[in-house]
Amino acid sequence: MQDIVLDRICKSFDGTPVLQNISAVLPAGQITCLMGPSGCGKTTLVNILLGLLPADSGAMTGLPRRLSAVFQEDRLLEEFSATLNAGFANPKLPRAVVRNHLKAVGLADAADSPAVTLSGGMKRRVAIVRAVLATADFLVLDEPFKGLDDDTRRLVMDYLMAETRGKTLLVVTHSAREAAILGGTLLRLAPIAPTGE
Amino acid sequence: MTASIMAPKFTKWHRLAAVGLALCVWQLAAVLLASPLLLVTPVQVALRLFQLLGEGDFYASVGFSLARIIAGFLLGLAAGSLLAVLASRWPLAEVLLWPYITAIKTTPVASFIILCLIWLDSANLSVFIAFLMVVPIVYTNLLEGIRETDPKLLQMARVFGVRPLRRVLYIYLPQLRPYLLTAASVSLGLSWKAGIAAEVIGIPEGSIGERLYEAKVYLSSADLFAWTVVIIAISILFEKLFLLLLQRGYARLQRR
Repeated sequence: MQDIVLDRICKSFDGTPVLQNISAVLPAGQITCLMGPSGCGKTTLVNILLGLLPADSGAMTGLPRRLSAVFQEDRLLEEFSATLNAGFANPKLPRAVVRNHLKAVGLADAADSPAVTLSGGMKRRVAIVRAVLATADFLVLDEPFKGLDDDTRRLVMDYLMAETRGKTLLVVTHSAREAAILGGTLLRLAPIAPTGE
Repeated sequence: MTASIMAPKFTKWHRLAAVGLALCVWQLAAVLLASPLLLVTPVQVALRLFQLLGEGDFYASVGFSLARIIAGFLLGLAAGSLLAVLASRWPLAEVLLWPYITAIKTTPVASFIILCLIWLDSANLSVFIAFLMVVPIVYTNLLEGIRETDPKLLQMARVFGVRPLRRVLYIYLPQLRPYLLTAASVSLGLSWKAGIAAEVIGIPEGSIGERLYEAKVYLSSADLFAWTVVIIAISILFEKLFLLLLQRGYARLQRR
């Protein structure tokens, strides 16, 4: 596993630049927290890293083939159980293992419930477990603790740090407190200043 | 001020009462006409139906038509689904299929029946005609359903490297459910109507269509009505059974 290097990444939408010459190193096996105000291009950068958007220019090296993610939305299979959703990215995993992970984030009683019946916070935790259980070396988590109360957030953060030890993580967050607890490198993204006439 | 139009809620009893009333109107009309050649009474139809149920040929005719129309429906369902998948993946396939689908949708079924009589053995005509009626309905519905599949779920599957079979089972199939149910429900009724019409024109030996044709030749209104009741009953029963199996399949998938 090697560092992921972003070299002068640029991206525009309809001529409006969103990312301009973004260069950064995401150290292998460590957590990097990506911070910045709303609209500064954090999710765009996440989508480029996940291969969902092409960059206009620039290069990325060291990106592993197997990726995992918590998206800004939960993106669960609403009709299916929390267990199926949590193990969706890794079908070879025994159901008992998946259930243990759900239990670790306080979802033991909801393991058989369809995702559609879960609350927002419960769905978020299922999405986090799904990302953790996927066979991946690089996890991109876009505001993973959104919608969780303080106690649950702490529980899920501890779970995440314990289960992803040794993997490369990029965590998008608005909270300096979350970044401080997670530790690792801090990457700040600033909005692009509008060009004057 | 706002006004809303509420759809009336009909119970099973309301519907049964409506059917009873329609039968009374029919009985009254037949009595007033007093000509069994023009209109038999529902009682006479019921009596003829019971007679038919005691004949061995009745079951042979039902089996003959049922097997062929169901075969045509299932083949149409498979072909329509396959073509919808191809068209959703390759726009060129959709363009190339467009003239065929449009032609099948707009051409009168009688034209197809007569044309196919030249090409095909009349015994298998209803298979092909039922197939032709089902393909465009399934194709159009499923193509729309595939296009409406949540792109964010597909992106999620792509990021996690989920295999195609799992994508079909857990993403496409649940999202296609309303489209598949509508397509199956509409095309089942149509395949029966068109399949029997094909048999009446092609007159394959031992089919329901042949019995209807004989009813016309011998001016037997009781036979015509009795066989029509049989066709409606089988068509509704098969539709209910097929939709039930489809729903059970989905329920089983959800329990995984």
